[in-house]
Amino acid sequence: MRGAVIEFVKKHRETLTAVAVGVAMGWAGACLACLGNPKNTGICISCFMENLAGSLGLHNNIRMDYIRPELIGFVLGGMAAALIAKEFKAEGGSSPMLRFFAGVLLIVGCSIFLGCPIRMILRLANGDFTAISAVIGLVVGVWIGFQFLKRGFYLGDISPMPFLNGLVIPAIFAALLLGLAFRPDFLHFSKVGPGAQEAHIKFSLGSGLVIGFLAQRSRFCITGSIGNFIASRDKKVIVSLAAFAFTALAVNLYKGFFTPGFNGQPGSHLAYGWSFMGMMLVGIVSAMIGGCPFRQLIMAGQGSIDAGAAVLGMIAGGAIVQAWDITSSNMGPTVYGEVATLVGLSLVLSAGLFLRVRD
Amino acid sequence: MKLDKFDFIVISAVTILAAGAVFYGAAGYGTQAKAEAAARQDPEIAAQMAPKIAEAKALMNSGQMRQAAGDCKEICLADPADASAHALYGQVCSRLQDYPDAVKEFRMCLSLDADYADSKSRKFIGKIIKATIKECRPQFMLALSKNPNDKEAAADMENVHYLQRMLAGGCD
Repeated sequence: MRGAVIEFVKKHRETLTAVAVGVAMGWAGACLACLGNPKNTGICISCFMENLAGSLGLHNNIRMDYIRPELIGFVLGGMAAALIAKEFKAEGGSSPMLRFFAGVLLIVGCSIFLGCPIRMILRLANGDFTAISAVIGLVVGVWIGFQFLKRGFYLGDISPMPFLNGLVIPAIFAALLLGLAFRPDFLHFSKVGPGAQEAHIKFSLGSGLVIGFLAQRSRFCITGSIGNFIASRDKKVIVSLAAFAFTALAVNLYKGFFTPGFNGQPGSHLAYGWSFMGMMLVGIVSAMIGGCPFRQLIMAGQGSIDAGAAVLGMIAGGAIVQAWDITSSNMGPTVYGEVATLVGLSLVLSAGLFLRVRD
Repeated sequence: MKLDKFDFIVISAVTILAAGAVFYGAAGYGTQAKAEAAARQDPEIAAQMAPKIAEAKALMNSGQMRQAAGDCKEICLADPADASAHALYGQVCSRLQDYPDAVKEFRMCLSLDADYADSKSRKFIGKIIKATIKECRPQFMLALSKNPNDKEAAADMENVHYLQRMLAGGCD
């Protein structure tokens, strides 16, 4: 019996790791919201990036300032897993500047919908049906991005870099942990608003580290999962997504946080068309740069300089969407947000056109 | 360089999106700045209205709702960016069971200052708003079920949904 179990685990190790990260993410995502993070926002990379940018003083929304320990956990957990598996490699050079702007556009798209792909699933698991249009938008976006990849879209070769380069992003996040612990005056922390809604640091950091570790091992990525399914009908990663969604749903049902409907959902709006467009932008960009915002953090933790450029772009994006009123509110998207989405989409498609390698 | 069918599709999409961006930008040009200016409180008017607000509060606490409503209306007209005046007016309207005006005023209040929906803030009036919604929602729904084209009831329901979203919280 024991031998059969070992054999089964060996045979399905990748799938089981993918399911484990899905379960961990669903459980942590739902629990973090129960324990103090904003409702439906147990984990949201774009919201957390906006919080981080605010805490660093890069925007002036005093309701959105906090260094989320989850972000630190993702990067350092990913780094630990990569070091243990001897997969930590400082490499890059594949259009880092373009990836920086891709990072900005990822946050622009997310801020129109009010959430990253992870929060999109958490919102659905809470019964927020307004996220359905975003799911469709994300799938369509990944499909469009995949069409570009199929037709020769290429950002350039990745080459090895001096080791120290790979340590920059993990070092920045380790320094942020110190900032969170000692709270020096130059860092900002909200007293009201979403930035002041926080789960206990130990739980946030711990769950971030576990998820980061597992995600590095399983290559968990929302858009990557969709892309792999579109490209090769690979069900392994879809299983991971399903595990994520059902675990979050189960926790919400158990805690009584499941409130199905379109109206009265926290951190949402009813502009379905713009949610679709925003997530389509995220889907295209993620497919082009090889991972959703969460995956960029994990890859930056394992030494990818290109992903590091995208992470820095996401921090800049977090500042821009708040400072320039691009981010949506409960009333819906702003004029600046609508224009930014359309400009973002046209820029991304244009880049796709110019960066095709033709025969 | 020879363009293929895919290139032409992408070029068309980029053209449409860029035209859309120009259209939305031109149509909305200045609206955000106007909205921001409208939401900015004039400190002089605020100082002038302070005694009036105190009077309205006293009237409300003593149960003289009609007089309090008159004062609040005056303050809101003079200083539309004063979230506290809208909060007070909303509460007075709620006590008078004038629910359409109550939800409208609460919406104005929360759109000007989200702290009124934040339980960590001293301004928090979420419980009062929730109680108002509990009272008025069935009435609005009944009006809409009787006449689905009732624009006023639809607008009232929209205000209720906005208030529910704000009270539910979230990272926005």
